[in-house]
Amino acid sequence: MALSSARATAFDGRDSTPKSRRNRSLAWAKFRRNRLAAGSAVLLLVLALMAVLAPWVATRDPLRIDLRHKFAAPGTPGFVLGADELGRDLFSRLLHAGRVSLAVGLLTALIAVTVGSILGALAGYYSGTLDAVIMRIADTLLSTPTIFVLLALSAFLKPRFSTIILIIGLNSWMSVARLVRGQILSIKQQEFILAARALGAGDRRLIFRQLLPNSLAPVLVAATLNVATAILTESSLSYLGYGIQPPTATWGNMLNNAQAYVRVAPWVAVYPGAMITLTVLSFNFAGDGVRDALDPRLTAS
Amino acid sequence: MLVGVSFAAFVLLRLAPGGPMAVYAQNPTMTEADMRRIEHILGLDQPIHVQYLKWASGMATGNMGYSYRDGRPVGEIILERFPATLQLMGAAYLIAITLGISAGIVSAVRRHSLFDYCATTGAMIGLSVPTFWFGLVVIIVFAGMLHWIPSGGVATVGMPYSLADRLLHLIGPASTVGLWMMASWSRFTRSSMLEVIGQDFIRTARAKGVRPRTVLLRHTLRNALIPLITLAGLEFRNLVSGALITETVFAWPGIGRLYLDSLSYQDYSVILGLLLLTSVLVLAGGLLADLLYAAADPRIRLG
Repeated sequence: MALSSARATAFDGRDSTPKSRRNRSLAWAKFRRNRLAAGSAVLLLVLALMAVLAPWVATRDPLRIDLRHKFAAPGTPGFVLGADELGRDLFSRLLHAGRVSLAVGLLTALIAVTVGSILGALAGYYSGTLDAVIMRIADTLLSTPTIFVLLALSAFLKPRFSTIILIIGLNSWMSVARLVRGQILSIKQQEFILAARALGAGDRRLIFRQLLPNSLAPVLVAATLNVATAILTESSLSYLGYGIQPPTATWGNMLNNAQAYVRVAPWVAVYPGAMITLTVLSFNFAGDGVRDALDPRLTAS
Repeated sequence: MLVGVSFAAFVLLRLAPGGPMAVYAQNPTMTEADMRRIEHILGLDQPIHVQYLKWASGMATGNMGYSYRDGRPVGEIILERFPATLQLMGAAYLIAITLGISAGIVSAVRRHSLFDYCATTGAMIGLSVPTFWFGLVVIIVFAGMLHWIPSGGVATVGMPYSLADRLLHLIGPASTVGLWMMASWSRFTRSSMLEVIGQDFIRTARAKGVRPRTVLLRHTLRNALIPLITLAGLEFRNLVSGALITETVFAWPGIGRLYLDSLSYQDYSVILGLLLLTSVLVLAGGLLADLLYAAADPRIRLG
């Protein structure tokens, strides 16, 4: 897909030629036929919808403390999924936490992909010193154990929604940068780039109009998988107490105290983790599906 | 690269709030002059690059500095905790490699069988489960409900040393750390095997009448495992992170717990030492993988 639409772009300079459109619908059809991926996409839509509509679906205030219903078992009237150690409604908390966790995942992936694409494009386009510097920074970051660094940063930067997104995002652009760099190194050798340059296109136009759009397919896959990792990372940080702080609920920090009560109320520990797993699994399956659909060389293995 | 990591960490930790002076500041009998004097003795009044050079030269001679919390040498504190983590990581590697690779082989050979579907789906789930939650579930099910394993620690308190007891304590955390790795190993083994099976020399070997078993083990497996060496190096980074989280869940007294404790006490010299140690581990893992790769694949010779 990347190749053929690249060729098509070369002729009239726009992306939506009949040929690339046909490829796109082909990819779409392939994605839909992949039952796991399509199912995951539907599930993700449902999750997103529930997160958006949380205040209307779960009308009970997720922060309302009701000690009479402490550790209410799942199914207690008014508490579909039971209650936690302060009698807060778990169903409502799960939905509201989902908003935060999903938002963190999506925004983090956005940062990682934007930074990664730009740095990767710069490194691939202007090889030489700039390339060396960017790739060395990426190597350095890749050689530090993620969770250790994130914990230290989070401990000193006062963990808040915005800082958590920033530090996770700025710690996960490296794989995207490597990917984009590789793509650009190979695309920039092709004739249509030479043609565009002969027509007088400048560096910036070449990078943002020709090179980056043509390496979009693998980036899309990386972005999907990035959301999955970001959700996992945020939940680990929150579980350890260095993520987004209570009373704001996230799936990770709901598990923070749960370990103390596993014997009394195991369900408090089970639900949030199940939500994380389900969400991350869906993103992973969807990412795989997108890759299989976009890459003609990989026939479903 | 290590210099980069250590300098960045050093500057960050010096700029961070708290630190040794915050501990002294809580003492009401301290005067401003006392504070300055201690600051001078500790060398904290010097410019940051001088401090870094001092620390780095100490590092080079094996002196990692002293803990702000109890004044003990950082090297000693870390060494005390390190064996537990190594044990955990080693056991996790063992579980992940044996189970992961065998699952991958069977999946590749019996492609599209029921086992293959279960294994690939299972691997995907394994990649999606948060480590700490899997640990919690292991505790709930195997320690809480079935009472097969203890819910944490290295050994039963007050019991004399016994290998069986240690192993029983190890199995829960080790499989928790290993799960993620096992999943990615089985995925990689499967796709790598499938790639090799499709190549011409395998067909040639079959055509020559080599027994299927020999083709599988001698020709396919050996070639399929080579790219996995790189993976083993890359996994180190995740392994170290996984160990930290698992140690918290299972109350395992390794460097991960030490790191978290030091963070909450703002014990920067220990934090710094641990950041450096884990970076060295990750780098060494990568280097070792490169060397092994060169040894295993005669087509690749590094410079």
